[in-house]
Amino acid sequence: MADRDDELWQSLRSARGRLFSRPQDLKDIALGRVRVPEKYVPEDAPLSVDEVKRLTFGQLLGYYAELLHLDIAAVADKCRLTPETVTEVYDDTRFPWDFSADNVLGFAQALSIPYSMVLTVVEHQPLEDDVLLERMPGSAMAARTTKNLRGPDREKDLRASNVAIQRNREDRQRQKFLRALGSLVDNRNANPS
Amino acid sequence: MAQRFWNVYVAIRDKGDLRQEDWDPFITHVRWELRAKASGYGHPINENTEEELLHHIITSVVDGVAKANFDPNRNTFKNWVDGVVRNIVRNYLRLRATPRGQEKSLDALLEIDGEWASASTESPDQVLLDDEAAMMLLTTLRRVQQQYPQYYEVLRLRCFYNLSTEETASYLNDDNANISRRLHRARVKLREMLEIEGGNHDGR
Repeated sequence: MADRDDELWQSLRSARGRLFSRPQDLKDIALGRVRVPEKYVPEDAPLSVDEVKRLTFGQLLGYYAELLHLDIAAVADKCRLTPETVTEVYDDTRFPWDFSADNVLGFAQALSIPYSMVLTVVEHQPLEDDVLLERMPGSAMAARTTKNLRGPDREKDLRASNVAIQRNREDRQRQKFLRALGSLVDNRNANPS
Repeated sequence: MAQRFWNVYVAIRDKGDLRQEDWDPFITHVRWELRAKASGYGHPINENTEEELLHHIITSVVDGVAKANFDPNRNTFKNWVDGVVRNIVRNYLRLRATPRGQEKSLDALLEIDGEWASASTESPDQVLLDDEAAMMLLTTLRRVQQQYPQYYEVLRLRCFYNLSTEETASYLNDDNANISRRLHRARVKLREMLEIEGGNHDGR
C-alpha cells in the first residue's frame, strides 16, 4: 500500500503543473487573494560578467544606473535623452539600433559600461513577440489581413507571420548596426581620447 | 509613453481591478523572461518548475511592491520585475545545485507522520508521466474536485504549492489533524476513482 501511495504521489508531483495549475492562480496571488510561502527568496547579489552579458540592452542600462545610484531623470540627463526615451529603453521597446552607434557608445561611456559588454548585449538582444508586433509599421500591419488565410488558426497564423516578418526586419537592422558599432569601438580602442 | 505593465503595477499596489487585457501580456512577458533566463543559465525548465517558479515570482513581486522596493523614479516596472525573475532563477538554481538546498526542499515535502517521504526524492525533471497516464489522472482529479472539493483542495495545496501540513492548515483555517485526515481521504478517494477509471479504460 505504501509503495502504491508513493507511486501515486510521485505521479501527482511529476505532473503537478498540468494537473493543478489554474489560469486564475497567478492573478489571485497578484491581488493578494492567495499567499504562497516564500521558498526562493530573491537575492540581490552582484551579477557576474557572464550574467551581465545575458541582460537585455534595457536591463544592462538599468543595472549600471542602479550601481551608480542614478534615477531615470539622472540617466536621461547623463545620456542626453528624455526621461520618456530612457523609459522606452529600459522597457526594451526601443532597441539599440534605434539610435546611432555613436549615441549608444555615449550611453555606455556615461554609465561606465565597457564597450565590449555593449557589443555582446546588442548582439544577443532578445526580440519579444509582443514588442515586435508593436514595432511593426502600421501600414505594413494594415495591409496584412486574415482574408487570404484559411482554417481556425488564421488569426494566430497571421500574428506568427507578422512576428516573423518584423523579426527579420529587426535582425537586418541589428547586423547593420553591429557593423557600425564594431568599427566605432575598434576606432575608439585604437585612438583613446 | 506609458511604462509597460504600469496598470498591472497599480492594480497590485492598490489591490484594485486587474483587467485581463493588462494581465495577459504581463504574464506572457514574465513567462518569456523566466524561460530566457533559465535557458541562459544552461538549465531549461520543465512545465512543473515553470509553474512553481511563476508562483514564487508573482509572490515576490507582490511583496516587493508592498515594501515599496520598486521606485518608479528609478526604474521601470518591467525592468524591476525582470530583476525579480533573474534573482528567483539564480536562487532556484543555487538551491538545486547544493546539498543544503536539496535538504531544504525535502523538508518541505515531508509529512508529519512520514507518509510519502520516500517519494519526495523525485525531482521535477526526473519523473515525467506519459500523456495517457497524465490525462487519466487529470480526469480523475476533476471528478474528485467536483465530488469532494474539501479533499481536493488539501491535495492541491500539498502537492502543487508544496505546502506543509501546518501551512495548509493555516491557509484553510483548519487544524493539523483535520488536514491530515482530509489528505488521507483525498488519497483514498483518488485511488478508488483511479481504479474505476483504469478498469473502464482497460475494458474499452
